[in-house]
Amino acid sequence: MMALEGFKFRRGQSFIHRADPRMKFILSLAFMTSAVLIMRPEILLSILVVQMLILASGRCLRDWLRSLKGLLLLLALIFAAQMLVTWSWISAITYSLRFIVVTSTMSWFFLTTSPDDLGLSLEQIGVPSDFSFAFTMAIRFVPVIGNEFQSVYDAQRSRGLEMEKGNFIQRIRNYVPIMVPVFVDTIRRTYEIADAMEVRAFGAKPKRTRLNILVVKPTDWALLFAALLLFAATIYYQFFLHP
Amino acid sequence: MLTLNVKDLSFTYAGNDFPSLIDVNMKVEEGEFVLLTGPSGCGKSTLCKSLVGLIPHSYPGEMKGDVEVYGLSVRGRPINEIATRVGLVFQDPENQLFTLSVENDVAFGPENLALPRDEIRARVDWSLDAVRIEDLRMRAPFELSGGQQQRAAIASILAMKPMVLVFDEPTSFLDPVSAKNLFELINSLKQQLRVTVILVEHRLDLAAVLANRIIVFDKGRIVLDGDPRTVLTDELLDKIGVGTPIATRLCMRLRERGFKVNAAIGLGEAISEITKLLGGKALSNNRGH
Amino acid sequence: MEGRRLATIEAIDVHYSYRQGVDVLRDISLKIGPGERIAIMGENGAGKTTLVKHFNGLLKPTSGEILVDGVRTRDISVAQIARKIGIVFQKPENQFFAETAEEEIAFGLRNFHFKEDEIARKIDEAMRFASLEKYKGRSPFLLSGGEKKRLAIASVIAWDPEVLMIDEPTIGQDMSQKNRLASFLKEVSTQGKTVVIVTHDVDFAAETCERVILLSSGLIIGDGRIEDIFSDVELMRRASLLPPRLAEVLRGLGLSDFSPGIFRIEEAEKLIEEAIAR
Repeated sequence: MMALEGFKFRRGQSFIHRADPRMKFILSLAFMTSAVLIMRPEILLSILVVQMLILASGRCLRDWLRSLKGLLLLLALIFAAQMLVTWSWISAITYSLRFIVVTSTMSWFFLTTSPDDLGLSLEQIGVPSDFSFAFTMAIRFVPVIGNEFQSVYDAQRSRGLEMEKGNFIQRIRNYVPIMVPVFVDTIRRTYEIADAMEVRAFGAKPKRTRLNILVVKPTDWALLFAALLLFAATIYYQFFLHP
Repeated sequence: MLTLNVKDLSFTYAGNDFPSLIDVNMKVEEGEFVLLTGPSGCGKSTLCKSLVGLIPHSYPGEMKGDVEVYGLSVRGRPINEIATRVGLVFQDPENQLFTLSVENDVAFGPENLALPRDEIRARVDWSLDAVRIEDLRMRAPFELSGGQQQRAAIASILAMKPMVLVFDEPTSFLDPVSAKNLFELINSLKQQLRVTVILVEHRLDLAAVLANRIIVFDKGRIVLDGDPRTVLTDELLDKIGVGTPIATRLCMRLRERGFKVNAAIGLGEAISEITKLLGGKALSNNRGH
Repeated sequence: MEGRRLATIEAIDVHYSYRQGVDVLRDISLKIGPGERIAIMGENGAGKTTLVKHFNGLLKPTSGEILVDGVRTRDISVAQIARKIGIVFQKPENQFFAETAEEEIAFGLRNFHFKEDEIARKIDEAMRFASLEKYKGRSPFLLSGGEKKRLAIASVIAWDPEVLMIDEPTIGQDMSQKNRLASFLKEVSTQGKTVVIVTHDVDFAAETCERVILLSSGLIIGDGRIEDIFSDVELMRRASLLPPRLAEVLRGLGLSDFSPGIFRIEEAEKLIEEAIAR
């Protein structure tokens, strides 16, 4: 659960918060591409430093660090796996760094981009409004379902359910009293949400108009330019300098 | 033209053995404030859904009769058309707000109607102001209290500019003070906007004072329909499990003992009625309800 | 009961915050003795449910202690405490998962290692107590709202805890359901159990309980007899509670000095008649 903290949107006024989500997406894609293609640890490290600067400018460095704590196990696994396969420190460090860079890229993107804006950008690039809306709603209700899960968990523990007891099979079975109520609640909730949408005339017109739309600012173009530059540099490096 | 005309409405949900509504006939004029009540399971919620078209369009089942809204047949028109005439606010505030800011939620309805942006903006501003939550405009719904969420939900329905507002037990999940505040809001909206209001409620003590008409359901049928004083003093209320509000009951009991009191609706009236018996000599200032 | 000493619950200087800077409970100290009938009240968000979750160990205090029969909740498991302190949470739907109502009740009994023959007997008792016998084989999801509530309570009563706690018993219930619940709780109380309800239904609390603990913003602002607390207008206002309706009427008539603790309509009527005669 702690790992997810690094990907939950936090409101803010920083430059990166106000940047157009579409440009941010392309930029983070560029960073991820570099991380995947380039295998030099020094370069990966410098990319990481840039990521951390971005996170810091958005005041979400701490959230990212917290999520890193949650991913430590996975990181250790990656490191160990590489060591076993290649017997090379460098290789293991490189792969671990790559993992950190990729997750940090996704991290600053999700930490600084409101799901509403994400849905909006999907809509504006042509995704049918049903899908983009479903996307936004899913994110909006994640904390609600999470709470539901916790409530059910509490209720069943109060009836004597002990999750940690029993053999492997028993432990799996222990999840039934938790999963069923959450599932039922989620289904019921979707009916209520559908009703609420209907009474707000959802589906009245094929194309919805929007109160707030994303408008590209000059700084967003700059971000796009930086992203394309990064792409170009990566390609150049990978295919011309170090084939 | 009648605002609402429920004609011989019967409805059985698909898969149920018995109907949820039986031969319901109800005529509502413009500007009425109708309080709908009845024991649990009496069909109040089903009726609400029928007024806005969720029944029969979203809930399959056997329907007889019809509902007409300003002459428009609910059976014959799609929900999104009825939605601009009848607004429905549900019990659970959480499931009526879908986005991450109140502003976006209030804009949702007008956006669905593909109104021009200026119109949407105007409606959002107006709705937030009518419900007095301008300060919550940029807040995320899940951060708000139950009472605030219900206000946001009401604002999002007002943005559709309906002429009829239906509230299905809107205070179920609210504490008494928030409930009282919500009733006050509904009342002031009614005065300001000149809409017709249908309020479904259990909390008769707080809600009865606002209505000019009370309709009581039991097992799918209307069993009482009239002005508040007549309905609240009917002994049927206790029999079916609804319960006469305490203030009214107190006056009725005093009346039975031979005292000259009118059956009161709400605390304020009860106090003033009984004060008359005391020769107007209440010992401290009359705090109304 | 076999001469078990009935459970006492004690809170000593309990503070609880789940995140830096967010104090949900502060300076909570109280004692709950056997056989008491207590209402925990306060506005939404005052910390009522959080407090109740401390009583069975679901939550542990950030500082301070909760003792159940002298044992710190930190030192024992939730299951061990739950055997003595049964909590019924607000939404019965949050716990139903079995195919039949019978199986729902068996769940708790099995968790607490009751023997199979005992389980069958306990189920019968509990269903009879809650007037749900005819629903034994019915799916819990097909019951009505009121029946679901009764099933949730029955599934807790079945394992015979010494303390029964119910979070918001009256939400969404009509008058007859509330009356039924009130007599149910009185019955439970006569069996010697401690009853604690979290509610903001003042009239219901007045009818079923004798002591009330008022919470506001995580602090206890009142703890005493119902008559005393409910007649304190200022205190009630601070706790965002509407005073009992009858009390309001009597106050409006100027009779409140004669009427602390008048919550029954017969008494109010008598009082008014006496006042008229004067």
